[in-house]
Amino acid sequence: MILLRIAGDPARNFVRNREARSLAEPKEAAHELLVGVSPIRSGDENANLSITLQNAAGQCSALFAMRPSTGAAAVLYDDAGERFAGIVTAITLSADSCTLEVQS
Amino acid sequence: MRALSEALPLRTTAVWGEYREAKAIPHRYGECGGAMLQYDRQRTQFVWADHAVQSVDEVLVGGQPAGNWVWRNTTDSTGQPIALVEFDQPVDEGVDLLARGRGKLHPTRGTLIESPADVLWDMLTNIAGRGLAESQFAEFRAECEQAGIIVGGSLQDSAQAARGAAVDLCRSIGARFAPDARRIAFLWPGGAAATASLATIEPPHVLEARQQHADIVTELTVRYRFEEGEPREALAVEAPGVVARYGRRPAEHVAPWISSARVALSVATRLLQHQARPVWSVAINGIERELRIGDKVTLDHPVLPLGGEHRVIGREYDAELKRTAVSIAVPVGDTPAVSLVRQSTRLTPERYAGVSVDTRGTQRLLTVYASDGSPAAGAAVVLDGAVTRIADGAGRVEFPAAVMPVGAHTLTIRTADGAELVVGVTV
Repeated sequence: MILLRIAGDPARNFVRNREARSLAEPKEAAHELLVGVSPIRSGDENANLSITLQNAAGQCSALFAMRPSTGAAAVLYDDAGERFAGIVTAITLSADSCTLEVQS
Repeated sequence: MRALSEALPLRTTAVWGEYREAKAIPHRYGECGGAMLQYDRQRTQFVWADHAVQSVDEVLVGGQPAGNWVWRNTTDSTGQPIALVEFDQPVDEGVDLLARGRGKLHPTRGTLIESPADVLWDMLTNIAGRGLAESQFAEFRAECEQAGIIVGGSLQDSAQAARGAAVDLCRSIGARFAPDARRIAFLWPGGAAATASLATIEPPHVLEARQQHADIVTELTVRYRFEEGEPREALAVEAPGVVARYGRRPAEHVAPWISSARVALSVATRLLQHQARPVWSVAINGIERELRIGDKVTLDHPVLPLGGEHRVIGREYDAELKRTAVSIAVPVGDTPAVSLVRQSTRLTPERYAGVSVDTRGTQRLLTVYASDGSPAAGAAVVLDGAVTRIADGAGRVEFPAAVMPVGAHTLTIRTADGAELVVGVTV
């Protein structure tokens, strides 16, 4: 189970399926839009990863177009707890997907 | 016709029968300043511009205002109009000579050329020989006039391409130069909307939108009023409401063609109102008509449901398929409040009895004068009793700012004829 939480008002949680909703704070909405998480890249570069979300029906466009979450804190959790924390540095919207780039 | 990638064909001092070194003879526009070029062997005549000018208002010798000069529009040895400054006595070798004034006059109207559109037209048509009609710049001129933008600056780099010079001018004032656009140049971001939307971007146009945190700016410093490649003034504006969300994110805008605080503030405000907001960079493909940079399109697409009219800022036209791919930039959110937070002026040389002190980069430049006001060549200058430098032929010595930091210092000056002077200076 994987959950991406983006801080803000309101906070935004993204999960792959209904089961993962249990990782989110009970009062926060969780969107079942998470498609994939890239490997966490680090070394010479600043540690970073990419998150792919569904956007086939324009769900992410509706969430981010007017209030993009760039600059917001983002944390990736799995069953064992926090896996990566950083800020959203870029958002790319296209017809079928949305990509978030997160850097430490 | 010359390509825009070719260097501006500025004349150099080599066209004169005698010259000191081959330097480009500047073209001056609006209110501006810059170094003068030696014209005669006696060092009494100096050229400020390679054309007639409206006026020469001030002359600085070694950084200090001088009064023993007159100026006139005349012709040089080749018969070309020039702006000439003549001193009543020879000027010492090696002394910096700079004049400030109002530059080139419009060839038919006879008025000072200071609209960015007129400067661009003169640069491209009269200097670069592009053969563009003045009417092609009319909309840009009207747009600049409506925004109250005038410019002042110099063309003096004979290696600079015409396109580079045009881009420098437009970038200074927050404008885009696009020679294949319908309007050749336009204010962007912002600017008056003078054309109707030419296309509506809707499915099935492929669209990708990207927004980056690194693009957000909350404080913008504009450096302007350039002389000899150095800004003399700067001002900073801030969007305080945006700092709370993104933190302080400063950036700099170098504006060699802005010569007034009013224009600098106006341009800084317009740029920051754009840069302090999230801006979606949008790439759109497959538009079934030709669009050009500066054209307006209406956005009505589910990937970026923001709507509204936006200007094309990049384009690629496929002549075989008759389709255009364009890029636009879409800011979101309310236009932020912007306020002036800082205004500063470069220190001019401080003149003390027997010595002037200037700061250039990391160096303090001192010019030592004899009792008759001439540069004291060969004088020994001792800084705070510790560091000694010998003045060159122009009476100049340099100390690193690290050795002569901000604060009070004592200079002991011994001239070549044995006279000694102790001066307290503050930098």
